Amino acid sequence: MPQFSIITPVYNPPREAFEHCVRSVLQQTNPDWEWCLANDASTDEWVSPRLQELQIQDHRIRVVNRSTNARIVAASNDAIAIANGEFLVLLDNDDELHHDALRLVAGEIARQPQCDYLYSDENKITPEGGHFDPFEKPMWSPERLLAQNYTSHLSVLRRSVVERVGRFRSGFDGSQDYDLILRVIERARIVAHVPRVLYHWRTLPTSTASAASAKPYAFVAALKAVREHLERTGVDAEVTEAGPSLARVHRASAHNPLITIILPLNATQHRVYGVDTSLARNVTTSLLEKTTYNNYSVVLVASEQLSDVELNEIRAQFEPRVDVVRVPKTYSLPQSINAGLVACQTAMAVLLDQHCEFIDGNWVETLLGYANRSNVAMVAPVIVDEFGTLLSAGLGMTPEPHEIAGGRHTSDLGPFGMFAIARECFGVSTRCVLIDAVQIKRLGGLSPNYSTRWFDFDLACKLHQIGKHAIVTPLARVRAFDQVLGDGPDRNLFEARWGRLVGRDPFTRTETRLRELVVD
Amino acid sequence: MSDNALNDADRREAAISRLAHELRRALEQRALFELEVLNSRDHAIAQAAQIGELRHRLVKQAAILETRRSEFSIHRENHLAHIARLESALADASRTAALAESLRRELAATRGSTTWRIGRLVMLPARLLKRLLRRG
Repeated sequence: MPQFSIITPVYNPPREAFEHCVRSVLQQTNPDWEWCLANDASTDEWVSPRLQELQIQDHRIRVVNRSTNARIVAASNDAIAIANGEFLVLLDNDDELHHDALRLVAGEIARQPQCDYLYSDENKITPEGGHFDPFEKPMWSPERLLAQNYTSHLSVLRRSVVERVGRFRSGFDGSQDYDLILRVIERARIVAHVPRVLYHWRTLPTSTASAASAKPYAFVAALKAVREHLERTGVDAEVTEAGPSLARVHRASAHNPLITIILPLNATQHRVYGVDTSLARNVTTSLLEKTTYNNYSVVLVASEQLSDVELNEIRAQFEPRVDVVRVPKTYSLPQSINAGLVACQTAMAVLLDQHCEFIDGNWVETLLGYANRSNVAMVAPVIVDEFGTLLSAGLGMTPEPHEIAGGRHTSDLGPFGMFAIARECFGVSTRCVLIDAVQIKRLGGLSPNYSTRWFDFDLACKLHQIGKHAIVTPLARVRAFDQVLGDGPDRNLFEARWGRLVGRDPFTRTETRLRELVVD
Repeated sequence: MSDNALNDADRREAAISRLAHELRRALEQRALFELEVLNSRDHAIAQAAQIGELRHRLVKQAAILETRRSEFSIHRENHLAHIARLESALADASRTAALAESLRRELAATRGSTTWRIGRLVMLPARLLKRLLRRG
């Protein structure tokens, strides 16, 4: 029994592209494969004889001929029916595999024998064979997969799991791979990522690789696949379109836990929309007026700078669900947040900076929707400034520590649509963030040794050390009036602690692409 | 109500007030201690991170040093081989020089011998004739 069965439905492919595809399979450095091709009643005369010729030429190539054209799902299932390999490798009839693809995948399987699904990076090739648009994918990101089929090519699935979930399903034409992957990951023990470009996706005028709009029916099928996946996994959610081939999952809150909002306040005045404004009053007013979630208490961490009169007025607005912690005016922001964490008695808390105000009222409900995912310790909204420019859509570490999307316009979808979708990331800004308070307390809260927002990166690194990460969602947006990250002594301190993690962000790997996103 | 009862009530009130004050103080103390615990945890993690970073840099440095050592070793080997080649060439040159010297001495001895002088004397007319013919 071979390790890999390459599954290829064939229907009138461009001859030259098909020959490239054949060559890429025959040149595999790992010979432990069989190639199962299903000829879906191709009308081009050369197809059938060529397939027969291949079958004679190499005993590992097997062809099943359909008498009538039944489209890609049926043809793919026919190919799976004759497969004997332990793993199924999905390959389209006009695409190419990297010559080392199967060897590298086999290496990953040897490293993690319980892998049921593997995916690799991919790029595109022009009809003339030029390579472009490499997609260096993040490590396994189940939240991101709900927003886009980012794993796509190359996909390698354990055959026994595919058989258990019932192979490809009709009714998902154009997104049949996505539907299958979503059903497989529901049962997969381990999902692994091979961080190498192992698949070359040919851009033909009719293929989805050239433009998402080439197959609009495919996106409709993708949304349907996500909806059904959520139904099967018991998630009450609404799925809508977020952009070209991008979906948004609006989860309904399953329960409404009591949360604590930790809000450090001082007497700072700031020009907001050209008017001198008390930030303390601005954030509390916004919190009270906008927030639709009711089950929360507030811990006001008030600096001595803030007058008793002003504090009492703010406090009165939140009575009876408010605690006040007075801190010396010498306390830095992380010290104040830590004082608030000590007073927090709930498992979940929101860290809120007084520079913020809310845009979306259901921000707490939205953030809570992601909070119960495994390995997720923080969930944050997208932060924008008062002029509608993005300040932060998560924190990245590659190539340098930076606030993802900083300086981009809110209408910018970002590389591979990443700004427009909820996704896993290395860390998030603590300007506004829902946290697992128990976990953060175990890690000693925020480091008081930083005087600037480098403590956000420090916290992200602490969480990374214990295998936790964050989720950022554009479904909740918060406006902030503070400045972006700067360098200085904090940067040196950060490097002294976590320099080894710089450039090694498993969620934002595309160094050249992200270089332009670095905020200094 | 008797004076005693009033006094008891006052005393109880005072005791409750004192206890409430002490409780508040205790809670404040506890919060401070908890904050200290948080800071200590952060400090411990930061120290561990710094040690990890130093170890990482050490490993990296060691790898660089190992590369340099290996490069130096190759360089040294090349040098030694070059020196050996030079020494061998020098020895060859010395041997050649010694041979040349012995030949030179042999030649000088030959030219200083009586046989050589008689021979030159015998051959003198022939040499003179040859010289005349060249001039002619």
